Amino acid sequence: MFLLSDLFRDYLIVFLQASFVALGVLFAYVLIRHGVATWQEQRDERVRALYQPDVDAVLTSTRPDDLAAAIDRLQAAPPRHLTRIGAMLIKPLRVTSGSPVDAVRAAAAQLGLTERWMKDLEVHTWWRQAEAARALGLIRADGALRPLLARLEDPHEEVRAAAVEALGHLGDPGCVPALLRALPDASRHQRARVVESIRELGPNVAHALVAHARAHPDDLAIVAELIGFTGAASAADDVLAWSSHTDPKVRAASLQALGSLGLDDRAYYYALRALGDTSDAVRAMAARALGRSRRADAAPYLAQHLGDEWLVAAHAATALRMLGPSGERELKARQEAPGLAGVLARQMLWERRSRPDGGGPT
Amino acid sequence: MRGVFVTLLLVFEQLVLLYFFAINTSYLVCSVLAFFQLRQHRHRWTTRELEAVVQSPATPGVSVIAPAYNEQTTIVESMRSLLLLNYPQFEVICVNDGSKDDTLKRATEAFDLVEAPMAVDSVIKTAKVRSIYRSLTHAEFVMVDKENGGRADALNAGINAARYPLICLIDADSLLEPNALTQAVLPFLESPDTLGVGGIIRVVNGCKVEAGRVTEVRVPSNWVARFQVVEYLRAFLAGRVAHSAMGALLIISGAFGVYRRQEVLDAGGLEHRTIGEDMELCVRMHRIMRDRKQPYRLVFLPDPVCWTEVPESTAILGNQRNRWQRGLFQVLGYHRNMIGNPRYGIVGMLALPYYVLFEALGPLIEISGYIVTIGALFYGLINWRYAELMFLLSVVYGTLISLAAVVLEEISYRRYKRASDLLLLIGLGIIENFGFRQLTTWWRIKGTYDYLRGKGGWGAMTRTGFSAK
Repeated sequence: MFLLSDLFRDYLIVFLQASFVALGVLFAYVLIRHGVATWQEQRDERVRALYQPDVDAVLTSTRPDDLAAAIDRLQAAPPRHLTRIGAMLIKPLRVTSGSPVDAVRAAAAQLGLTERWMKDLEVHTWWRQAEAARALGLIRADGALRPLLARLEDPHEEVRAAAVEALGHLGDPGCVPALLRALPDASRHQRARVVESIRELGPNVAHALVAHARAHPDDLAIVAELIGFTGAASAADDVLAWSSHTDPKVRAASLQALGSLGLDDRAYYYALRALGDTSDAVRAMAARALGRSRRADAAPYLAQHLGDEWLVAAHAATALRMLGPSGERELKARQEAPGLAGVLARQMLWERRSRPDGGGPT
Repeated sequence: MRGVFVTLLLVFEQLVLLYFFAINTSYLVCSVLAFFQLRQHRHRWTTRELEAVVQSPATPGVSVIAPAYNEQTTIVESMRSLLLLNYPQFEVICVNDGSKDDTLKRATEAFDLVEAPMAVDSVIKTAKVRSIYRSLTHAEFVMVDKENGGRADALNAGINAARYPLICLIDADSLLEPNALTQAVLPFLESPDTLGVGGIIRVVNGCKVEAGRVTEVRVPSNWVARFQVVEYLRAFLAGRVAHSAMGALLIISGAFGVYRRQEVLDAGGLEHRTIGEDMELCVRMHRIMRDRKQPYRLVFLPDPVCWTEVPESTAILGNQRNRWQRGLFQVLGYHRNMIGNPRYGIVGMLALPYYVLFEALGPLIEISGYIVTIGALFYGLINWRYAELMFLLSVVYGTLISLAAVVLEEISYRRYKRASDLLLLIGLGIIENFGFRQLTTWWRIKGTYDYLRGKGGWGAMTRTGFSAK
């Protein structure tokens, strides 16, 4: 009789042997990997403990002599520890600025780390390029502007991202056009980084932003948002003009920016007019801007929108909550109203009572 | 007649053998794919990225929605852990789904809740909302008290009440790690096409939990829970990482998933008639976006961690697996015209057929394999040595897959620091082949039977609470 076992047995035995070998290899790998990783963690901890006092001395030094002495001590470290020392030096810079940055820049230059990071920008492992770009940005390295600008064209997204962040740290207004050219990058995260970097450059970038928007009308909405984020009040007139743009996204972004910059008399009337816009998003941003203006005479106009579409009504209600007594009057007048207007009015009155600060801006 | 029967037995035996190789090889392929994905992922998402998300004004707000039904033992600890999340703008909405115990009372006492008028954009119809409570001590905490309508209905009520553009759907008894939201939001920032992101679910049993945070990761002492640690590693680190990389992710776990609120509203919210509502939502989103021919992404990320308490008794675990199996059949039934349909691309042609063949029908084929092997032995078609060989092979291949999952854990996140825990996990990968796997198969067969009988319901889940650990 034909037996399955005759047909398959030999193959199954070979397969079983191969599986056993794979099992053994994986078992050995996982154990070795665990041992090596544990050893590396312990080594890193030892290295950290060894150099932390000198790294702290660099970061906190107030006199040039102290700084020089700390750098000298770090220079005695074996080359294999330099990468770790570099990471320890730059880590605190993510949350600090001022003299520690200068001290770390000096230390990185003397330890040869700056030169190493510059070279790392050209290697072909993307994570080393990205780390190097971030490090150069954090120490505001001299001469890093051009190589970092070149990395904005890198094929790997993470390297471009690191370059954007680093350029923001460098604080050189000369990089604004290049950063703005990076805006159309497909990733929203990258756009957010560009926004953040431009924000770091501060209100002085207004001129470059407006020029970019004129040259690239497709970016009007994001530029308007950027102006709001950077607080570039000198661009307020342009933003006001964009609040009448044909694209509702641009109108909404402009009103959002105006809300952040603050409304002067002219902008106030533009915002009032925008409450009658055909787009929900525009009306909502107009209500938000009026709430932030804290102008009491806006209350009756906002109150008319408590029964509007949800997004508009919610922003109008929040704005009334922020307007103080005039807003409260309007809310009280509508707390018995049927539907959404009444519910929102009651909620905002309750929030005013339980949070006397008015609940903060939206 | 006997000849025909023997031939059929012979053919079926060969098919089962083929199936066994196909299913295990697919798991191995997933493991290899996941290995490369995890290596890339570790380099990509750094601490620096998380800081950027936390600091950026462009980071979208998130409404964390946790349905609670009779969760009096864990509600306070769970909500505390959620309120400790490291995220710039978020709210926590706990939906009390008509609990019969003291869930609402415990939350009221712990968070100083007061009944508050609150306007809600009620886009999705739900069971009646009785009241909305807000916390006087935590401005970002909201409790929605509603009549019982099931988990999906409670989540829908929370989605209605959510203020932010992203919603995070979790279980009330889950513990999110402080950076979980920050990590989960990254794909949304990366691409506007991202509709949903799932995080990894890890087993909290046996771990040390202090003030709503897991402070020491250990393998549980309970054997039923131990087996599930290996299962979860296999399912998430190998399976979901690979499926996500292929664009074929069909489940974002109900215990932790982040979605765009508007897209969930457009899809009509969660389907409350199914017990597999997490999978159903994902499959529906695939369907809607592919019907509209719009680009989209549903992503699994291996690092945002949600810790969950798993059953420690076979009775409760059996109920859970039975429910999962019924849920799977329901979802496949709802979307049956997507299966094998080229219009739905990799989802229709690969992911759904994979779920039909290896997940839904897997237990039936496995049990048939045992029966046919016994039959073949009886008729002398195979001998004992061959049967033993087959069994040994299934154990070795199964162990290989479990070991691969442990390797993935070790190369990626190394949560289990002790070598003894690692060895135990490897050991569990071997031991589970002698009883636990067969038991799981049995529960799933019962689930299939209950589905065919039209049985509904969730079954009970008893919690011990995190503070007790």
